[in-house]
Amino acid sequence: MLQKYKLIISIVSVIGLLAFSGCAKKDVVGSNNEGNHTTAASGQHTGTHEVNGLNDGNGHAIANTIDSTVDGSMDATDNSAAASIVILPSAPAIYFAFDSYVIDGASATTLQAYAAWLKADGNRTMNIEGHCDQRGSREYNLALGQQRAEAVKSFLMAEGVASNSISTISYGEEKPACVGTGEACWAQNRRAALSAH
Amino acid sequence: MIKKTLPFTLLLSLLITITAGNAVEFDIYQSGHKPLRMAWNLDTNSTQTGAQEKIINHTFKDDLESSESFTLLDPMSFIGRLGQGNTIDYADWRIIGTDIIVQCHIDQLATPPIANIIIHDPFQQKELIRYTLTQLPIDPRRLAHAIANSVYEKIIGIPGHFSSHILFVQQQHNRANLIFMDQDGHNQQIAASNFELILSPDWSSDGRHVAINSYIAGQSRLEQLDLSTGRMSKFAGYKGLNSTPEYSPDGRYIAAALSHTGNVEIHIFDTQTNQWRQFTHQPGIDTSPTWSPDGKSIAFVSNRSGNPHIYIQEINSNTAKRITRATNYNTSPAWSPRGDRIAIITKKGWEYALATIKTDGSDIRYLVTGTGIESPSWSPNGQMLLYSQEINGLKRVYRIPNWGGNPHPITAAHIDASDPAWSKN
Repeated sequence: MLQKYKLIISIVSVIGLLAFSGCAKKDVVGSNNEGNHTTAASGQHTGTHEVNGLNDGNGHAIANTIDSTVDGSMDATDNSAAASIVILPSAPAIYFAFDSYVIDGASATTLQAYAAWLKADGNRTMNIEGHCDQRGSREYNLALGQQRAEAVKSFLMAEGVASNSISTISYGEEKPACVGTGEACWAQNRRAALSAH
Repeated sequence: MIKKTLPFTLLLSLLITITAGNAVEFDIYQSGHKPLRMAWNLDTNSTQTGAQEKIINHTFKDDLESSESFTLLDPMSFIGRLGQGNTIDYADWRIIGTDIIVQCHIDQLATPPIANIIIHDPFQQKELIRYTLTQLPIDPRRLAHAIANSVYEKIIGIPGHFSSHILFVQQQHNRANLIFMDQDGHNQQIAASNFELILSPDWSSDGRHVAINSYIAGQSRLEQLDLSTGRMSKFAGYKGLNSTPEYSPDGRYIAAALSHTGNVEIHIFDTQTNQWRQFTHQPGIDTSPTWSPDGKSIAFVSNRSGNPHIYIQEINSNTAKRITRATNYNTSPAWSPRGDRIAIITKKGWEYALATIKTDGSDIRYLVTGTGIESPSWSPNGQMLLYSQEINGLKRVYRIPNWGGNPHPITAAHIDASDPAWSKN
């Protein structure tokens, strides 16, 4: 129990360092009218965003433990002191609005944590699966899922992750996380699933 | 060729507006089409008459009735003998509302078989045409299809599609199989099996090859399947998306949507040189290419204006013209082999719909509305459409005439069937 407590404290310390190092650099990625890449709204990140991307090393989320300790945004990418102990974020996916591949502020925070983890070891890789909800055509959704995966890849590359450590694939609407209808279910399916190794 | 000037050619648009409580208002295209009532008589000189004659009769009847351009009268209601030696009293046949009489005599002792066919119009009170078909297949089903093609063309003026084939994807236990069958559902065979996913199959114009988007071990790829040998050859396995292959009408090129540039763009593969060239160069999604029948243009989906719309771009041009305006969701274009219309999946109120539009985007005709409507595919003569619809988690393939009407399921209710592809001839 004591060991676990120490682990949590050390994680909190790392997060604290990350959090005070500055605001999120970028909310790049995505396109809208005429296909121009645009910048999504960049909001103040709360501690919840960071902790959602962490676990206690035993696969258990520790969001409640450190929620109150983090105030402000984090930039995990340029904290070299923390690099050797960057922890793999636990958020398995980021989510999108209907027919959109714009990365929102909360997702950007998650991806920054992934970028830090990937950059900490050059042998680490990530596969990004783009998915869609069941509405609309399967062929278009296949392309939309790919754009979601590419948006994540572009974000990570902008954070300094090497292109060759990232692979992308789209399954469109073929592999839903939630089988059913209604926005609660569809929202879970409009995602980029993140698999880091 | 004779062309029957009956209600079939008088397609009228009737907008039926149904409003029930707060239900969404919708209008479905209806035509003034009515099937022609045909009296059909078959004589053969086969030595093994019974079984073969029965197969030919049933197949011919099913073919013509599936086109929804004909209804075959029950022989029990015939009011006179229709053997080729008999005299036909046109007045009697008019009384029971017979639009067309077809007498067919098949010489099955000839090798290959020969058919003599006479077509009458009781209302014009005359024989319209008599002709002989030679080099017919020996197999009774294929023989019946050939006769049905001919009779359909003589009366309607458009070749019949009854010798064509259909592919669809069956998903079973999380594996995908590509299923081949005749257009009437007979002769089902597995053309390819045990893929993680198979999407968007498309026939080459000669019917020998099929291009598919397959997924194997978490990788998407484009492959050509040689239907005669079963040999599969990969022609795209780039990083990211390799999707929506579509043969050019001459079979030389395959357009497809790839994402290796970091963006989903349409590229064109030359099967003779094995070279790709990029066709679209716009940020955003460009996908689902479909060739015009003359091979000079490609219609495709692009979200370059913010929402998915249908665009047309000439093969040697860099400029695309948007043709859809009405709603903010238009996908899955399929260019009719007759060239005049494009089938699309669009939105109609809160629902999705299978519709057709002219190539300038005008004159939209909604054929079916609902959820989970996908993958329109034209019959080789442009008279019918296939599509799939998902109901309660299970997809099923349906057929509908291009002038609207009732959808007819062509796959079994208990299997998951999608991505129909009608052969090009």
